[in-house]
Amino acid sequence: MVQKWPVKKAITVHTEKPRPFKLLETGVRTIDTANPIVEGGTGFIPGPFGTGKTVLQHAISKQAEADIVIIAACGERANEVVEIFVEFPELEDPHTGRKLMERTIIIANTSNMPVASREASVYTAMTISEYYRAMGLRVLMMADSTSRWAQALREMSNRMEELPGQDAFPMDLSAIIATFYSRAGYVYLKNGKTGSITFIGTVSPAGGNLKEPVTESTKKAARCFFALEQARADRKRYPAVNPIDSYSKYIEYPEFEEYIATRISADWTSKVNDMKTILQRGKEVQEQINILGDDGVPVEYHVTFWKSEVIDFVILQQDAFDKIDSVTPLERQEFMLNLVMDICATDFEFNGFTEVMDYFKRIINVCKQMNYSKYHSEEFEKFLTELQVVIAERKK
Amino acid sequence: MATKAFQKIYTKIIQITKATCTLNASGVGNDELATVNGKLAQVVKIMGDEVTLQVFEGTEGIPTNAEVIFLGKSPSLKVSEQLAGRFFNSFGNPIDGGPEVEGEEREIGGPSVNPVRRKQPSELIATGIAGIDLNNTLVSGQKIPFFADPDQPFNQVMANVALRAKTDKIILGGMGLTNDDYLYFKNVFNNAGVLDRIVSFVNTTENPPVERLLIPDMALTAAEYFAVDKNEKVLVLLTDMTSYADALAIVSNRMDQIPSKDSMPGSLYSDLAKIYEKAVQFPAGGSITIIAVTTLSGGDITHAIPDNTGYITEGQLFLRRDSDVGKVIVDPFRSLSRLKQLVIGKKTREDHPQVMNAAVRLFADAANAKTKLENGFDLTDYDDRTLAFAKDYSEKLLAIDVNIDTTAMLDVAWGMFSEHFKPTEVNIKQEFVDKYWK
Repeated sequence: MVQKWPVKKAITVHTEKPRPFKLLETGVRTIDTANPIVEGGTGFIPGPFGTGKTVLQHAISKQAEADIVIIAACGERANEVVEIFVEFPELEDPHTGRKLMERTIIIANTSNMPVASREASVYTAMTISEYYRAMGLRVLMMADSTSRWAQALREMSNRMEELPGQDAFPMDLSAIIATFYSRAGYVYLKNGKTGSITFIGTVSPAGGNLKEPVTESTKKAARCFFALEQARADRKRYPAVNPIDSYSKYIEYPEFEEYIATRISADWTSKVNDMKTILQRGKEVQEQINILGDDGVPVEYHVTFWKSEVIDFVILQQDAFDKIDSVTPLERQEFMLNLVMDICATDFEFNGFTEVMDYFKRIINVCKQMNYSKYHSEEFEKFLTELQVVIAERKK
Repeated sequence: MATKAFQKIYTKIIQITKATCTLNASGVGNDELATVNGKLAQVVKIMGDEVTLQVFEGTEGIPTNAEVIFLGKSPSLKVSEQLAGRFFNSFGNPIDGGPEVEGEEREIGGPSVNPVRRKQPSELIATGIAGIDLNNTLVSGQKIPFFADPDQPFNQVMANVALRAKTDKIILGGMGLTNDDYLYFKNVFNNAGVLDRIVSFVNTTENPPVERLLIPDMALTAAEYFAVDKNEKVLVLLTDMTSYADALAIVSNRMDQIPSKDSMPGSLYSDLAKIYEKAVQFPAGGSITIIAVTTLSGGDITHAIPDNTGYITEGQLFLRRDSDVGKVIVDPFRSLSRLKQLVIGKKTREDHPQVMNAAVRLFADAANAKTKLENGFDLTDYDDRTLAFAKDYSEKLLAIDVNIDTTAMLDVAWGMFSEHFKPTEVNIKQEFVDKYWK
């Protein structure tokens, strides 16, 4: 049976569209733990080139807990599309054990293809998403990159000799983006079932400058913001998501808190907030150390800074190319967060700041080895015991 | 151009601007070539019967009654094995004094390969330069530019890479090349005795700038011939893409298009993508790898040209002079090869990815220590060790005069780790530390 639908028009066959609240597990710690996205939520990943937008998107599309994954390769590199063609038929869906390709649809519009089809590509992807949502499935849609889509809008508006807005983009760019993002969402269908479209778009801001029309318009429309940062990428701290600038509005929803209490634990959100506070504090302390020098600040400052580094290295950084570290199930994320937060809550004894760094580097090293080991394997437990020994050394 | 029998000659030009002239003509196609008073021109706009021609050399001296002859074809190149070892101008005519090339005539600027017909790039291109092989490994079928200031030795590095890489053909597309640089390439290739593997399309600064818009398509048409018809591994060198983009801006300005960022045409991304996307690995074994140069002004990568390029290409390579060792190095922070993940640790030794990251991380720590030093703070023992490591690393690995194989690079890196650090400080998987720590 063939059904035809104009792609720019939304399919609205649901009775109700509540605020989304169900956590969408992606296996990426910096997202699930720090800034979770939910089923039917919207998010965007802006970042200069080379900061890992595509790697992050691929990681999410491989691991996310969704029934259907739709990838709109919008004006991106052909070789990246080939990567999906080649890898996905081989890889297994971690949730069902079947081949990833079976749940994946790719709309390929690589950068050399015509601009008019580039404009259409994201709409086509969204319409297919809506089609599956109407069947009661959980759809994850990714668009890489929405900036190329906006550029296609710009090229076409230029050709049609419309008067240009900011940076020569069409005047209604912000409205177009907002309307597009609003097509995602969690819905109750007429037969009582639910369906969802989670949408994550990447944005490639010109020159990495987030004050440009596409990023700003998207920021107004999307609820999650995963800011990729050049400085982090330069230092190979991948995924280069800045933990302090990024946010997820969903974590503030009472519906989400209720849900997460049953899925993980009741104090989860407060723990995550504590973690963010330590990161923030660590950053402030680092700036002070840079100004005042290592010996210009009390030893406790160094301890605070290094505690934030433990969080950074163990929770936030993740090796997307390591078989084990690349996917962290929620249960394991809970375990690691508890472990790290316990370390952060512990008081340690030091005689001078030089000891602090050496000591925490050891802690980080053991924790990293744990991340590389299979969860609850013999090796994992060995490193865990080693960690307890290291902690006991300096515990007050 | 010899006049053919029964050729229609137009003699009434209704409008002339600095670069274009307009006349009424029929049966003309877009992009078609023509001669105006003997000067080569190309159709850039058609409105009803009104045809606008862009005259490559400019319109100086063209009278309103100039003879306009349409050639009935868009720019094309004759391809055959005879291309090898030859030098051509933007129109594919020999400039080395040799005879015309005989072969099949192909239109330039065709579409690039559909993703489903491609193979995932997986063959490493070894260059011997550790800054590239160790940190930013190149893969056949990749497209990658050097981002460099005009004073940096990018042409030398590029020539080195071209000579060391094991490829069947090297195609040089020179846009706005100075005559000196053109002769440099000619000499290097000649001295290395590889001239028979090289095809060059050159537009020097002595030629009209708009002509250079044809160079990449000429070079890639030749590349496609060797990669598709002959299943050869082809390396295309394009220098300098900034001159190309400048020519695009000139044309778009003359055609009254609304400029976008940095007075570049709004279609800059598509225009550049059309060229770079020709890089491909064919399942039959042939491949086109593109190494380009994008010159920057004062290292500014936020300018529209490097910025758009960065979003299209699979990484970029930065050169920088490291004053600590007095050598030009491949900058490990800003350089990136996106396709390296396909080969490192697979085609090279298993510890490659982790060693690479650990070394760069420690190099970043050294940069922090250096800032501390400059601000007049005391350094810790760790800071001192990172600085010593950084110097070694710059000199023995990052410098562009290094020429060793990848396994040797890894051994050198492990040697440096052992010399300056404790195993717990490098954050590498325990099994590799057990195996390779010296």
